[in-house]
Amino acid sequence: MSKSRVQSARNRSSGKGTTISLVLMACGLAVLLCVQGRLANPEPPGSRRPAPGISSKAAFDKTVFNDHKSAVRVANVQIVDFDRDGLNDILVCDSARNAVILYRQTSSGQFTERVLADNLKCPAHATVVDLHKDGDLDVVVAVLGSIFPWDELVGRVVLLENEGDHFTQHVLLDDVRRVADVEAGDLDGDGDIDLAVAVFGYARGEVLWLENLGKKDGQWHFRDHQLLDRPGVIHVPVGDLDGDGDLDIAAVVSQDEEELWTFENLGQGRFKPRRIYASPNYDVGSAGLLMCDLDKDGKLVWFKNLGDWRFESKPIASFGGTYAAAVGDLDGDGNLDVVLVSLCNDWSDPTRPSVVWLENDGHQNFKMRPIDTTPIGLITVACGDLNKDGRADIVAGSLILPPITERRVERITTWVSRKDKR
Amino acid sequence: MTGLQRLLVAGIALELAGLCFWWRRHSRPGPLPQVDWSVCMIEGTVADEIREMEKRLQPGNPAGWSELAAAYRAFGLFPQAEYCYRQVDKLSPEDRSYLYYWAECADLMGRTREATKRYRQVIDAKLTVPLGTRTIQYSWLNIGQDRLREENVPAAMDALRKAPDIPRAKFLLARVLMRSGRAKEAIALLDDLLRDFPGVIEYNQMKSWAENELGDQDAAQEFYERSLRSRQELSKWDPTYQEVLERRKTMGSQAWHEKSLQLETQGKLQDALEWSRKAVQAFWAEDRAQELARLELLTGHPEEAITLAEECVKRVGAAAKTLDIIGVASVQLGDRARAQRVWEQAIELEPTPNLYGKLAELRRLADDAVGAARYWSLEQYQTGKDAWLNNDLAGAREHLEKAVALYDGHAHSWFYLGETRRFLGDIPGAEAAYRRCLQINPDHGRALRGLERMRKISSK
Repeated sequence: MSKSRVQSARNRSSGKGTTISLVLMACGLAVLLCVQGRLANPEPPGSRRPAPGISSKAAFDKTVFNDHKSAVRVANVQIVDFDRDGLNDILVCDSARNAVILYRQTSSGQFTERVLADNLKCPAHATVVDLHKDGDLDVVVAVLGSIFPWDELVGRVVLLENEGDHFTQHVLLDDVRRVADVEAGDLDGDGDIDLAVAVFGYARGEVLWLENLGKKDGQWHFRDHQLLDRPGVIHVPVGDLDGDGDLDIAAVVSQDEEELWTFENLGQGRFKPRRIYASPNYDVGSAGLLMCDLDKDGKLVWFKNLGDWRFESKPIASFGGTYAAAVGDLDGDGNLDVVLVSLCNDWSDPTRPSVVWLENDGHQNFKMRPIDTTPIGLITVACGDLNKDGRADIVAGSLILPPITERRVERITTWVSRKDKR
Repeated sequence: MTGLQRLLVAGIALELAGLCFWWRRHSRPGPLPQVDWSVCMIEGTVADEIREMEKRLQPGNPAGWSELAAAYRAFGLFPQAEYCYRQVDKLSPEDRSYLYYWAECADLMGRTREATKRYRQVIDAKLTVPLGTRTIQYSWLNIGQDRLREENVPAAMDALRKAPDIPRAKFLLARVLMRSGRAKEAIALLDDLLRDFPGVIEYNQMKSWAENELGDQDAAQEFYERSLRSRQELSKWDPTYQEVLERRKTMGSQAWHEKSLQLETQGKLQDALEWSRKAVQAFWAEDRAQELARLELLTGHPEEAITLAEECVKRVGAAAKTLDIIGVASVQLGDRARAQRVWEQAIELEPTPNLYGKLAELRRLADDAVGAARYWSLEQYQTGKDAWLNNDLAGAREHLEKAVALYDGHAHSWFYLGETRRFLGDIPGAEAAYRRCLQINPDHGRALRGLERMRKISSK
């Protein structure tokens, strides 16, 4: 990641290596894969600057959250109505503070900080889920254990169980390498919530699923099952990829292997692995994977017509240093647009954007539009409606490893849709 | 065309060629790509040194350009470095020692075609710089890697085959063979590699995947398990990257940090402290601040050490090494309770035998024999696991047996003991260990799988 992700010697270049996003279409559900580095064409046109000018359809007010004390190492941001008060909040994994932090939105639109945990070494991702099914949202945290590349057994999966006024920590998995992602869902069809786990590691990693065996005597019981051994697994989104009503798993593998895997749920905790994409270019630098119904057709027939578990890939944009993507309707036209953020564009050129959005014309044709050139070093982005205007707003976080003094770096930034543009 | 016309055309062609040659030799290059130091994320002291080198440069001196190129290259300023190599090429075309670096710069900027052209020049000139007799094969490796970046697999394979003595080339070739449905050929290459380097993680791992492709699940499992008990990583760095690291050590505040380390090895702690302080003041980095804090401890300043360590926690979060410093300083200051607190926090972040040993000692001093035994057990477990990860199974068994003898309620100790016994062929011992592990934690997936595998082996 950088990833917390590891950058190879080749990625030391100043961002001129091009970056490409792929959409691997599976009719209803699409898998959006962000990659960083170079693909087949070393410098595709349009990689340097997106189309000039901000879309007349979307404009944003920018706000920065900075504590001015710690280094800027935000690993993940999410927009979620955590306290279920009808206002979206922001959940942050901060690797410099070893903390999972909730920025709760008040009715006046201000955000107040609440630290949910501050002893988790480099939390990479937090998944909000009502594990207990008691109406309170719990948080399952993927703990890297080290922001730097390392192959030791320092990763963990930790549950922050919501007890109302406090969160009780339960270690659900340890003695594993660096954990980059945990996603929740009923994977074995027994009615409770299981977990898919991406163990990034370094030279070694794996995809696991944790079978929920319930809570007994105050302890949560999860049994680990291995689905794949590959280094550099970043994300493991869960969703019904084949429309058979159960949850499948996808996984993106980086670290030289550069593969995309799916695990078809066969029921009763059995999964069939398929490698659906592999690049011979070990330098691709995959950075993330999102599962979303981008074309909103919900049709599963099309998928079947393509043949069993076949995916068609379609590059949708070239944007230097792309590291994360989020999906939301930014311009309020009913189509899902895509927001991309850049970790390592060529920052020596101050005109290079760090945030862009891809306007969807409704037919999955995307036009890139810049949003901002600062802050730089953005590694995570999320979309959600923060100001209740019906349009998706944006929150992004920066991660800069050397503790440099860089005026263009901020921890967390929001771009909230400007109301006069409605 | 008449003879005269032919003569005229030939004359014009000759003139044009001559003009091109003259232009190549005497044309002025474009300006040096400017560095905007305010946005390039390079520390000020390094920027000052590079600017000084730029000022001192005599434009007619190829060695000066080479030196400046190396400095630019070390800090990722590849367009500038590339420009410098171009100047060397103009000033001293017969000296080809810069060609390989020039090619690397093109590579690092994503200009794979241009890089290949330069590597070809290295090959054609049969150069032995900068990598000795392997320079040619490394050039082929890099050409192969560039073709992989372009997803041109056949051309990549051709190039990689021309670097038979470079393990990375063989490994990359094995990967593309495996993905092309030629797992058997991949296995032959991996066997070669494993013969020379049995402890490399990636070779064992890929062999496991190749065996899996061929449907041999037992062999796949065997090599997967070997990969888990390996520690040697296949380097992802270019062979010249060490030069980059060495140069960085000589520039900016890193040079002061290095000097401090050197003085410490000479026992000159006070001088080391001064240089370390200077380095931290110039450019704060966690490892430097930890080093300074350690020197403060060694020179009898625990309060200063704690202040520095707390600054680390504030800036980049707690790390086991930082907390260890606070613990040691706290003991020096007589605050054992704080030492215990921070060391307990440290083992949650990165458990080490050393930390467990210290905690055991604290419990012993507090007359807590049970607590001390538990920590000593965990110290043995960590040491045993470390031996296991290094494939030292005899050493692992010794420590893990001690661990479970001191405290038998730790599931992972029993799991690793079970694994160790299984690999050593002690089937009843392994089964007993797995069962004890599962008694403590019935959901220990790896212990369940270990037990299952052992059953399969026994039934065979």
